[in-house]
Amino acid sequence: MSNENITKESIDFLDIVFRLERGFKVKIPRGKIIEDARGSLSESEFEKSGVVTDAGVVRLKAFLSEVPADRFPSPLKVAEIPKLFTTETFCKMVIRQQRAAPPA
Amino acid sequence: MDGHFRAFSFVDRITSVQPGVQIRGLYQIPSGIAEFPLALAAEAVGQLAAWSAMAKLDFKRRPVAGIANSVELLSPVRPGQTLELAADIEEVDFDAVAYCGTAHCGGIPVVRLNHCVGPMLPQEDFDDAQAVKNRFELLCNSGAVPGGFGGVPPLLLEQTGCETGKWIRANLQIPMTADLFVDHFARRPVFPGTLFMHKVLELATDVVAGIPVDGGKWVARKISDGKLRTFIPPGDLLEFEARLAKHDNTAATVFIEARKGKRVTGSSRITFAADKNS
Repeated sequence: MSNENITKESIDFLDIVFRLERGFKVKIPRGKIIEDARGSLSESEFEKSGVVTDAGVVRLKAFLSEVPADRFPSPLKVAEIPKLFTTETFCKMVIRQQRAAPPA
Repeated sequence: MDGHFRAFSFVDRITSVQPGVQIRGLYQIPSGIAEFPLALAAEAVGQLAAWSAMAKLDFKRRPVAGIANSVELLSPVRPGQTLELAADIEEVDFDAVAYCGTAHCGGIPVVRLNHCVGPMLPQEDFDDAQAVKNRFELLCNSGAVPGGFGGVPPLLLEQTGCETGKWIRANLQIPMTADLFVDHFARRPVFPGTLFMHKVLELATDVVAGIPVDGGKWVARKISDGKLRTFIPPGDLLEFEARLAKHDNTAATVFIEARKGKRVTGSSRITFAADKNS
């Protein structure tokens, strides 16, 4: 069986993202969140076998500057990145999308 | 004939479909069963939406569990009636599907689902993808033989505490075996979220039953923020708490949370209207 499963975090994450999309009339591409977090790092520089590399963690801490450093576990699995998100993270997502595609 | 695609399947025929966009279908409620709760009419709409979402992703992913922003309970249905089902897919990708939909009966709306979201998970974890694809082809062409659903299995809420008109606590023992588990799902039995919803409605109704209505009774009108946060496997013991959130002469709201141990399994808010004609 796949490791994929629903967790309360994943359901809550979907719930929040879809509510924000409806409320702010923006599209938040869920798959792109990690891609944005990765920045200029390639996928292999950012993660190896589902675990974020040291360089990836540095990049992630800069991207998620609102998250206290002591909340980053070591090792950090890519699948667990959304667990780090705070209210401010979601606000930043919406603002980024609004700037990328301002409402007509 | 075994229970796969029958024991808990609520689409007999797909009358039109645009994968990932919209879908229409029919379900004939078996006439020989005792009741067909509105929660199962909602299940039928969700299953219809699932067919469209799965077709879009070539049946490699399927929606399981999820969130209903709101489910409007509009009119009761009876065994023997035919549900006219419709779902519009708001968004679907590898991770999630968002949709809304309705079930009508003889042109009368019976349930309306607004802004539902389900995680899309690997099909192979739950069923044989080719078998699911074949079923889709059957539903789109000749349709399935109606009558596979044998009725709601006995699910007893055992009350563990209450304060009349304010709150009730109750346990629900999910059975280890039930016909529906053959179909939901073939490779991984999961207690359906809509049967969870059915029991939530029952418990909420018990709470408001303790509040007098002048010459009538409370009727459940809407389930809001319905969220199933984890799979419920056969044999689980769920602890429910239903608490009156607010009420006046015309409406009442009950908040319900279910836990397995310390972990919240699901939650929702039920809105009742005082029906003075009933």
